[in-house]
Amino acid sequence: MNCSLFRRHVDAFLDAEVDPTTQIEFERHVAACAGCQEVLAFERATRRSTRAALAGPGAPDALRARIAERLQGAPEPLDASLSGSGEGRPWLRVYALPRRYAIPLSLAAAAALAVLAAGRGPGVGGEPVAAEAGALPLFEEVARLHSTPLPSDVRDPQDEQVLSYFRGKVEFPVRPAAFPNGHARLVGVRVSNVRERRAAALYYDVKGRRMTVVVYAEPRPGAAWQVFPAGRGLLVERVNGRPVAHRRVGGYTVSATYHDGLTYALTGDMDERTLVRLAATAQIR
Amino acid sequence: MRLFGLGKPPMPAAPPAAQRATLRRGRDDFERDALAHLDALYATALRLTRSPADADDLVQDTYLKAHRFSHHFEAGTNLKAWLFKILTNTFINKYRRATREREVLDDAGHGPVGEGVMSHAAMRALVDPQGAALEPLVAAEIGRALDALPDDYRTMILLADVEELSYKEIADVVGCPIGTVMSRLHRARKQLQRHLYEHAVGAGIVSEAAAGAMDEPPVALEAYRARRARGA
Repeated sequence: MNCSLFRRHVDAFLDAEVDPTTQIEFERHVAACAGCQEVLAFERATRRSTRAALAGPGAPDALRARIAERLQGAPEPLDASLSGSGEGRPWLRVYALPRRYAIPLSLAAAAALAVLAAGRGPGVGGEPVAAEAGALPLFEEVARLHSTPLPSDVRDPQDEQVLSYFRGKVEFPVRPAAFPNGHARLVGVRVSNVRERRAAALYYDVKGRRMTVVVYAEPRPGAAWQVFPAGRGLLVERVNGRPVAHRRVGGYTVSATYHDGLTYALTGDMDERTLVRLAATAQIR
Repeated sequence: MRLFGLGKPPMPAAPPAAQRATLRRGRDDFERDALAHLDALYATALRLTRSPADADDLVQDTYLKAHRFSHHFEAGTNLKAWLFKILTNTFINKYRRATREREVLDDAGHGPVGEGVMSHAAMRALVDPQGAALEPLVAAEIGRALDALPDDYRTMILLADVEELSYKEIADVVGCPIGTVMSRLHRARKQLQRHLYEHAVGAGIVSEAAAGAMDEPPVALEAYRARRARGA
């Protein structure tokens, strides 16, 4: 044992990461070596001060309450849902995502899993949307954001408030969609996530029914419609000359329109035709 | 049901309601246990994102993911490390688009340290008279020193020195070998110390003359053990 060895491993020694034999050798050395005692004291003091300085403030109570509330409201964990033998959510299916879209949680299998709320209709159940390279179960996420809504951060916002609320929170300017005839009223907004990226959730009231519009940037720039290849349950039709993609997801219809590289995906407690019509008439100001 | 059971023990398969209750209970336990780490996760999130709003989001995302993938957590194993793993991965995915930084750091990992370790005089000057902590003026700079570190190094300091996770746990959290944890952590600490030292020189706590010799890079303990085994 010598000083240079001790100093090279002072980290591991202080972190109690050396084996017991080495630990004893180190202790014996440092007891007899003033220089190494100094090094040890400095490292120890630094560590102690680091912990004291960085042991942050506790989490805000509001955050604690919000998380507890969201966990209560969250859908059953994946396996619980799957083992629900008919009583649970029979339409939940698990698919492997293309590698580059997987969440690298390295939680063993969880890394490559995503839940799809696959349609239940004949020919639609088991729809391998996510397994298609480049295709994403984006619409499923949109439906989920609608079915488990988060509280709005701004009530009855004006357009300007919407823009400023999202500024700095999402990577693109969020202009709310307006709908003719004044049937759909914007009642709230909220930052959200789609495919691990920031997205904007806009909450509307359509004649007393809830509608959620999720605005997100394309995962691949310029990929627009190819992200939702027609077929496989996805329909693309032109309504008044404007293309609208739509697909049934679980019990919902999700319709989508594009504006300036952004997807505006609509879903809500109304029928398919209404959602397609709303998507076709959406005006982005 | 009772009629058909004729005093036999309960049916092998729990009825759905009871099953749901069990699930519910397991879920509540998990949530309670997970929420016990909220303060630690929040403090780390705040240090990683440097923004209370982003820290809020990051922690919230972490809990929702943990909940969603809770069946992947093995009861009895380290829940805290598991939560930190989700937190750091979410942070990387969401807030750090570019992966260049990591590559650069890993490259640097093979080079010499050549920085950080100072003379005994400088060390003495930085530690308070009781030898218990750094001088208050220096300690006050730690937050800024941490913010100046690259994300990977910051993560190392937070996990090792604040949360006191073991090397093994850190390796699991960040998904790299223990050897990498050791060298990365070592560099992170040296860089932090270097920052504090420069601050102390600037503040006149340490004289520039006290700047000392640089230390050698860490060698693998295995190499030492092998040498020792050979009787060297």
